[in-house]
Amino acid sequence: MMATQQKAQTKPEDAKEPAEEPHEKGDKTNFPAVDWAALVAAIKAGEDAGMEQLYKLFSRGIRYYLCRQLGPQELEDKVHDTFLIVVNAIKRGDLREPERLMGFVRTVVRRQVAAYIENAVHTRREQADLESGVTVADKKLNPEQEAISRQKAQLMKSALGALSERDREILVRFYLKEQSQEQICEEMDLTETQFRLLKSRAKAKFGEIGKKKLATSGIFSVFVRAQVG
Amino acid sequence: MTNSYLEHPTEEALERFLLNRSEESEAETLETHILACEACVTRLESLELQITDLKAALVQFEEARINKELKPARSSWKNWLSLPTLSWAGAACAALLIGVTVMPHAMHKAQFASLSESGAAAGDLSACRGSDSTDTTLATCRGTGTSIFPESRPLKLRVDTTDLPHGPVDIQLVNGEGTEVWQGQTAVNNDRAELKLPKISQSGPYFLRLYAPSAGSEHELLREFRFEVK
Repeated sequence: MMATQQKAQTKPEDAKEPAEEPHEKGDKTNFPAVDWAALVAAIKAGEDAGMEQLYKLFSRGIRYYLCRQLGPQELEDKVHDTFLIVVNAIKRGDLREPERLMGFVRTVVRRQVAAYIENAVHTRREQADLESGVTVADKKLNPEQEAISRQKAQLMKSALGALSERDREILVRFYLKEQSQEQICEEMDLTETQFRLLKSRAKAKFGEIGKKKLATSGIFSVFVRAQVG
Repeated sequence: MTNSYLEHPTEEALERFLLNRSEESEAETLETHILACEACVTRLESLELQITDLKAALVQFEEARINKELKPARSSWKNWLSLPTLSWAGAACAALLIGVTVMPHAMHKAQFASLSESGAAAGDLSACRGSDSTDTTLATCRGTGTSIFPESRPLKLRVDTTDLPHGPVDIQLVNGEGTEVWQGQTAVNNDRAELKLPKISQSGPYFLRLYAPSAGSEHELLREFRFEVK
C-alpha cells in the first residue's frame, strides 16, 4: 500500500512530467469533400465520370489493403474484380444509403479477401502442380544492394547507440519484445503519458539521427557503387 | 456518414493498426478511412518503413549486446595465443606444405583423368523435358527441387505440357527401378494436363511419363516428370 502510494506520488528520475505535446488530431478539412449521393447516382446511371471518380477515390486504398492481406500476386486483377463487384452492387441497388459507401466498400473488400483465402486453402489442399524443371528464385540482393543494406544497418545501429539507455529500453520492449504499454509502464515505473511521450521522442530522435547519418554517408555510397560496379 | 470515418487517424492509431494491436472498433474505422484516403495510405507506408528499419536496428543492437555479455573482450596479445587462432595457423602451414609437395604430382595425374571421363556429367535427374527419346536418355538434367507427396493418398496432379499439342496422351507411372506401376490416359489442354493417380503405398522416387497415343509399335515419349513419395 505504502509502495503504491509512493509510486503514485513520486515520479521517476525526470521527476517532472514532461510538457505534453499536442497529439496529431484528425483534420476533417483535409479529407476530400465528396458528394456521396451524387456519386452513387452517377454510378447507377452508368456515367463514366462516376466510375472514374469512384476509381480515383478508392483505388489506392483498396490496392494497399489487398496487398497487405493477400500479397502482391495478381493484385491488379483483384483490385479490378473488387471494383466490378462494388459497381454492380450499386447498380443493383444494394447500397441504400449513399453516405455509407465507404463502409459498404470495406465490407465488399473484406469479403473478397475471405473468398481469396478460402480458395487458396482449398486449392492447396486438393491439388498439386507438377511442373518440369522446378525453378527457385534467388532472393539474395545483388552486391551493390548488399553493401548498401549492410551500411544502412550499421548506421541505424549507431543511431540507436546515440539514444539514452532508457529510450532504447522502451523501444526494445515495445517493438521487439512486443510488450503492452501497461506492462512497460508498470515495469519501468512510468505513467501512460510519460510512456507515450518518451516513445515518440525516442522514435523521432532515432529517425533524425538515422537520416543525418545516411545523408552524411552519401559519398561513401558512391564509392561503394564505384567499387562494385 | 459517420464522422469518425472522415477523421484522419493519429500516428499512434496508425502504428497500432500496423502492429495489429488495434481494438476491433478502431481497426474498423481506420480500415474504412484508408480505403478512401490516399494521404493516410502514404502515411501508413512511410510509417511501415520506419518501423521496419527500427526493428532491424533493434535486433542488431540487441544481438551485439547479448554477444558482448556472453563473450567478454580479451586483451589483444592473448588473442594470438587462443586455440582457434593457433589451429588456423597450424592449418595454414599444413596447407602450404601440401601445396608445395603433393599438388604438382596430383595435377600431373588429373590431366589424363579429364580426357577419359568423356562428358559423363553428374546431376540430379529431376524433370527432364524432351520430345526426342535420344535426347532424354543422353541428357542429364539438374533439378533444383523435387515434388514430394505423401504415400497412401490419391494424387490429383496438373502437369506442365508447354509446347505439346492438344489432344489425348498416354500416361505411364514407373517406380525408381523402372517397373511400371500404373498406366492411364489424359488430355493436353492449354499447356496443362490433369490426371488422377491412385494411392501409392511404397515410398521412393517415381517417374511419370507422357507418351503420344500409341500407333502400332511406335510409342513416342513426350515428357517425363520425377517426384517422390514419402
